[in-house]
Amino acid sequence: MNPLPQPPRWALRFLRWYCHPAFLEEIEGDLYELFYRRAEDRNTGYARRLFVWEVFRFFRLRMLRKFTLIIHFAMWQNHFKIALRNMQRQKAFTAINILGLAVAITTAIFMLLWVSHEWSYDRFLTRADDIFRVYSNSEFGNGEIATWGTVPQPLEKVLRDEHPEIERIVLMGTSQEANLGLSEKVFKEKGIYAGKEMFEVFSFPLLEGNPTEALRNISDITISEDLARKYFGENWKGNSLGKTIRVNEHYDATVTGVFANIPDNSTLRFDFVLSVEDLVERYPWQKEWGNFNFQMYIQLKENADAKSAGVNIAQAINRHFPDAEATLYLHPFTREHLYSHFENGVEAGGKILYVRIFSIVALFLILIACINFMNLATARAVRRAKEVGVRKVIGATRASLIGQFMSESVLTVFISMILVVIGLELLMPYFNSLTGKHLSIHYGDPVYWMVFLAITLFTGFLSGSYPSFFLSSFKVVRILKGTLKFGKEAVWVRMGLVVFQFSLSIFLIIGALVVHQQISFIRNQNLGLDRENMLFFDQSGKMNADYPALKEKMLAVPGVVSLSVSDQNPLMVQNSTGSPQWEGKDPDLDMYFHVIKVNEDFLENMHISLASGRNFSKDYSLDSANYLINETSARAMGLTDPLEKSLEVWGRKGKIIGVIKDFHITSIHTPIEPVILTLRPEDCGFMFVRTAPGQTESAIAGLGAIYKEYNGNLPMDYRFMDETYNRYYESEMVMGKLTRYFAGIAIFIACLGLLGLASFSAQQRTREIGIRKVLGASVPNLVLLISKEFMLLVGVAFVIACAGGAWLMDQWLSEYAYRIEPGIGLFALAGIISLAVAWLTIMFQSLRAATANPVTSIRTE
Amino acid sequence: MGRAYLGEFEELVLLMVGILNEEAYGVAIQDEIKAKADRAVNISAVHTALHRLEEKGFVKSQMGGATAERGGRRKRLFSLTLNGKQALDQTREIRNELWQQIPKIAFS
Repeated sequence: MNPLPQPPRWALRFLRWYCHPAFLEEIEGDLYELFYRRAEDRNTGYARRLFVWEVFRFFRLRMLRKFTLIIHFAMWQNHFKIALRNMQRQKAFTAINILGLAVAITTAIFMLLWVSHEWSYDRFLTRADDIFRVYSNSEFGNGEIATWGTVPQPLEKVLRDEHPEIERIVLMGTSQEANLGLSEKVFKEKGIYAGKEMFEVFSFPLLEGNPTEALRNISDITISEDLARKYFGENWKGNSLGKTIRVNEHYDATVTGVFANIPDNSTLRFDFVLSVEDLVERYPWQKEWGNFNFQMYIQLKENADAKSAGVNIAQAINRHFPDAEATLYLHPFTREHLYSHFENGVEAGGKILYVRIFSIVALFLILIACINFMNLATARAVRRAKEVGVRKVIGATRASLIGQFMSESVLTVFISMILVVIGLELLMPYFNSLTGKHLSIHYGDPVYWMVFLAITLFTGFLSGSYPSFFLSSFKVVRILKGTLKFGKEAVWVRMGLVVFQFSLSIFLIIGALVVHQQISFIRNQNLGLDRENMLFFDQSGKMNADYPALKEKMLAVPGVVSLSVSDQNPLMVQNSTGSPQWEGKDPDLDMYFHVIKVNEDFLENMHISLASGRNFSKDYSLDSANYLINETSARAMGLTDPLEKSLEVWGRKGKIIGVIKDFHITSIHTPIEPVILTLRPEDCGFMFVRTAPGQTESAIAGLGAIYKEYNGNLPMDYRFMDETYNRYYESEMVMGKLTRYFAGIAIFIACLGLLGLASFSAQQRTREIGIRKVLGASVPNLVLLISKEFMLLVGVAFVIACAGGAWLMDQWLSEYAYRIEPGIGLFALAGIISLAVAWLTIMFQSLRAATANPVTSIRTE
Repeated sequence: MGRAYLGEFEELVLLMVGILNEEAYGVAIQDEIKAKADRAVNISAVHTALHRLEEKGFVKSQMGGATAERGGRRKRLFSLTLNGKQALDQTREIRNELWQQIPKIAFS
């Protein structure tokens, strides 16, 4: 027979500790009864878990026993006094401890703020857990699965009709700009096109209007509080619903809602919402199954099972449009911000990587500072030995000694917390500008104080842990006889801790260098097109129609070199289509192409070169049905000689007239994908103008004047191509800066500790150095004597850090399709930096000791 | 003397003590609430309610016999006091009175 299952002993002990004896028996009895029953019905693990839970639930005032709380006030007072005296006597060491802890904790709290803000994204929405974004996975010919954030428009109806587990659906156009006008006030605003149920799914509060009524008609608009104030003045309340706003000088939209400004921690960002119907109706081709042009968010019914919903929905497109061969994937909206990378159709992290890295690094910094405290405390143990001995003789227990040393470390941390609060206040603006957030500490909120208290206690106990056990372990007899010998172990532990500190610091330095190099590599990468000195802006229909004359006018502006039009930024290509058909295409092959609509000037203006064939030309009237493809396309289509081969895109049949050299169409994270260029100047909404270096200002002035002529005095809203490109790497840039700060802080704190140890060691060896000097040792000799031990430790740390750094950095770099290979030089640089800093730190102390007059040092006794 | 206030959950527990008569203790009451009122409650809540009821004088208790299924621990068995019975009666009367005052309108 199996032995009877038993509830966790510690929980039982805890219960017996706190519970009033009068109630203990009945409570234990009930808990046992439930435990046995559950162990039989389900399993032992479940029963044990619930047992623990219930023990905690019984922890109520009513059930507590009478605690006789003996506060030996005098004793604690004494601990406190001794701690303060010790701190005062050793001002330098105290300063090192407090400063190190303060710097580490300040950094850690900043990181905690950042991390908790990252975690808070989108969780403020009601029923956030029921919202999912629909992604589509499609397999390339080579077996790789690509994940798209877009789906075809007809999917909405299918999901509504066939999937009862879905409560609501929001179809959304990608974020856009639009000119919103109210009589004379016309501004360019950022917003989205979304379906009717936008504000029902996403609970952004409507200050005016009603979620179930807003956006019901094709010409409805909702605007943010800021926009309402901008357009309708301070009295926007009660004064904006039902008003009309002119959209893109095209139609009048009725305001059906004013929403509170979107909070910082929202993934979706917009200042207005227009009806997605409008977008659909304007470009009716988007209603076809083959065009993946919309984002889609669904809200599952409460209590609906997300997993089975995901399985049910997966084949929704294929059932109606088998050609697509795209499976759908439901991604929880609360994970949208932190887990936004997909690899082979599976969620593969994202910003969560940085959240994890920084949390760990913050913890490491605290650890490094705690080690300083430990090392200084144990190194100086000999000075406290007599105190420990006397206390023990008088009758102090080991526990009370541990309590004493713990209270010392907590006191030290507490004092450094004062510096921390000052530091947080002073540095908060810099931190916010660095991370681009608006964070602050609400001193009125008790949660923050609780966190501060928790950090104080955690750090205090951590740094006091080793010293207090070490110091309290001394044997009384040995201390008082004066035969106390410190074992080798303590020294080994100390050296190990120093190595650990420096490994971490050097590792961070390596990290900072690698990140820095990778970022500059990305920024200087040849993209296959020239993004420098290129500005672009929306062009209106009027401008498009008058292109030849406009071009002449613009080229006449001083500083303008060349220009072209296209339907999107070639460094930010978003659309894709599976429709292209070509000669010899395997009918089973499923491949997606990015199609960019351009005019004849595109290649020349972008500095994209031809690999073979010719560019579009006005001399060939049939070119509107002809295509240029990039080298990747040619390879993907399996064409060795693609020229003159027939190609059909979106039903337009023509020939391939040229192959262009590859260029990057998105961030360097992703490899180059197949691209087709088609000559459709009439559909091109963007104008790209290349300016001569140094003459951008005058070019913009001239272009702006021409722009106004065509657009009824609207100012030209332009952007630079290199800026939009750099925006891909914003998180890397922030990461790069932060790692640099972290590395600096880590090595600073570690060196503080080293400084303390070196000066202590110099103090200890004062007489030895004096005698050596008398016997003829030179100053360099003595400096070497003192510093060699420490330099050796830093050297060992360097080796460890290199091994760890090389491996971890390789992991990080594998995120990039195009990356640097960190060479020996980089590691050598990290080594030189850290060794130099450590050496300088020790040098000061050892020089002072080595140059001291031996007469005074030997005479000390 | 003003009557001690009887909370909703306390009333439920008190009723169960009445129903179980002599056999009322923590787990049994918990089970009974689950069976009769379809409410899953935590055992600690039941204990707290019983203590309160005892303080108010609505129930009295004595220690019962030990059983093996309880790891050899005794039960505390609760039973209604006269006060408790009266409290239940009164609550019920007030309820009934209030019920009769609801106008007979067809609710849609």
